[in-house]
Amino acid sequence: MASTALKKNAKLLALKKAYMDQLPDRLAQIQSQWQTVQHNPGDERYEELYRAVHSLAGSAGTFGFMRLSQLCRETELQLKQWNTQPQDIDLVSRIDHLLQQVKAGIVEVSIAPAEEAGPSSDSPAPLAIAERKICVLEEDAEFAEEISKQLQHFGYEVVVYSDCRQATASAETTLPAAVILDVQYQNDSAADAFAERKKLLQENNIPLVYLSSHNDWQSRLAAVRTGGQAYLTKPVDITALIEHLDQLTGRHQQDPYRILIVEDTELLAHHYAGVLQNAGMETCVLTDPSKLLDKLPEFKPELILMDLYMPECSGVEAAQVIRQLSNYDSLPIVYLSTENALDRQLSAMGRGGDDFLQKPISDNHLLAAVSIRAQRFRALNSLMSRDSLTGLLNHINIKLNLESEIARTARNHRPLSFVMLDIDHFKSINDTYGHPVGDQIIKSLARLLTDRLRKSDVVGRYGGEEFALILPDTEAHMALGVVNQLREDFSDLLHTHQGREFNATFSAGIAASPPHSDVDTLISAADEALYAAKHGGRDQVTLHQSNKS
Amino acid sequence: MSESNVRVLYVEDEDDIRAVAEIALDGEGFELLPCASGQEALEKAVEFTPDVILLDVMMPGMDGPTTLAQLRNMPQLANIPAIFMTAKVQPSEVAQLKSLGALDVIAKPFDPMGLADQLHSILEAS
Repeated sequence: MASTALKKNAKLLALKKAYMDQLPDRLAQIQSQWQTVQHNPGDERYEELYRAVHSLAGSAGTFGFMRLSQLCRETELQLKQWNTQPQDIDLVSRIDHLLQQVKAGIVEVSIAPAEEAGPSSDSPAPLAIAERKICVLEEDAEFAEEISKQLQHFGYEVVVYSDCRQATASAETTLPAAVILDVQYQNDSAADAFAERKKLLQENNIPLVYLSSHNDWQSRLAAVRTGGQAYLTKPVDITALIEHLDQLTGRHQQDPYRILIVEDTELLAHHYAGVLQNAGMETCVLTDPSKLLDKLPEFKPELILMDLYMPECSGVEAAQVIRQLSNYDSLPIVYLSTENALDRQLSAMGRGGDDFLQKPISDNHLLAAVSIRAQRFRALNSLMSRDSLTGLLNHINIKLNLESEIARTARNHRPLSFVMLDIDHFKSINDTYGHPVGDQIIKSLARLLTDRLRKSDVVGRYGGEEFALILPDTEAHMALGVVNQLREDFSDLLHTHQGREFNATFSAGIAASPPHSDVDTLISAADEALYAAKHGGRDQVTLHQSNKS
Repeated sequence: MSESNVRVLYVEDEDDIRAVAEIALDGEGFELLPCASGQEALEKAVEFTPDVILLDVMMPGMDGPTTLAQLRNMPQLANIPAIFMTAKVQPSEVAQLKSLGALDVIAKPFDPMGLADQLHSILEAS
């Protein structure tokens, strides 16, 4: 039975190949028919043209070229409409444009590799990965002990191997989620034995984190070449190590990249959207660039894919409008167009764009180009927009975030609460215990806030000892309950300094939208409420009077 | 095996699609008579004595529904089940095609590797 299926598949592939070969001729014929017909409305050859397009749509779909089929289908619909309104210039140019895209689609089809016939080869069942297991290869027993204690605090299971033989001989039934490897380890006489094990790890994409006492180029390069995904120098900053592990093991689920697609041909836009969505990205399609000003703060894209030629305004013009807005200075804008003249591509890039992708583009190429840029943008953006001590959003970005959250919740007719929060008597804490202790307290409050609030809430460090919280979909009195609980828990935390134990407290003020519908009045209302809390004796939370009912 | 083959009168104007369907149904318990037009089907149908008629809806000259109506005018074919194939699979259009006496409607583009099973299950369900 399987062999008949194979033979059948081979025959279908041969047929598909033959079909692909004659596509350019078929399109050339369609184009020449269209040239004739568009200048002779009512000509009987219209029927032939229509048939040719219709049949291409059908056959392309049958051979699995869905996008080409959709483009032809769209052309077919436009042709039908043109036949009733042959004077409509827009329709003519629309059809021209579509036929261009069909042409591009055919090129794309012809360069895409044909799928191989036959079932995939059987591979042995992969070893299961234990999500929380971290393997530590470290000879220094004391240091290994310390690391494993710390990692366990953060919910990881740790297995320590003090030499290569031990690691190699261990008959583990599961793979670890990540491996921490001391560079010294590699110099062990049994390093060769470990190579096999390392190969297994690499085949299974298990991330490798190097620890080293060297901070020079050669050592770092060697780590890269041997597959290290992170390189930390001793003494190891445990917080940094945890962050790397959380990220590498996918424990901190990354939000999907948000990609805005500005493209007037809806069909194509949705094709790109589909490709990006399949790779786990979040997309938003805009067929009308004039809606950009509303869409940007709402969707907060991390990359814009911009069509170059659109009827109302060109992609370059749209990009330049975006660049007028300082908030979007660094947002990557990638043009997508059939334009193949290098000088025009370069000129488009000179004006607002970051890159130029030429249509037709293979799905893989599109995916790679988009995800790499979005990833870089996110990393840079986080450096620029986050406070280095706490990793929370900084002042300017709290405001930007607040702006878009207000817009979003208002549109959905949902409330939003904004909280200003300030550590009490912070100056005297600093004076009494020293700045490192003050920093420690700020970090502990930051950790408490992020751990306890919802993922949809925004936590920011507004300045010095001042924090801001954005709580979407939350009424003022609900926010009051939440923040009061946080206040109590924070005041319970015991801080120590040179054997002395002490507590810290905070005060907070809350204001909500509605009634405050713009950023500045909402912030100043929350500020007033905070002021009232301080004056009321500190260690308390106050609602702004506009939210008392 | 050959005695139990289902005889299919297949009407499709598109050469490529016809070729795909022929391969798809080959060796799957069907005997196929491919026709490139409604006219050709009318000429060959009675002699072929089909068990089922499979037709494309949109064809130049004589479309699928017209072809079916004409076939049904022939006494020998009046009660042979028919199945349409079409890219337009809106529920209203499907309902309309079924009201013309079709057993079912297969959406285009069809999956070549699944077409035989699809046909068998439609026929079994009837």
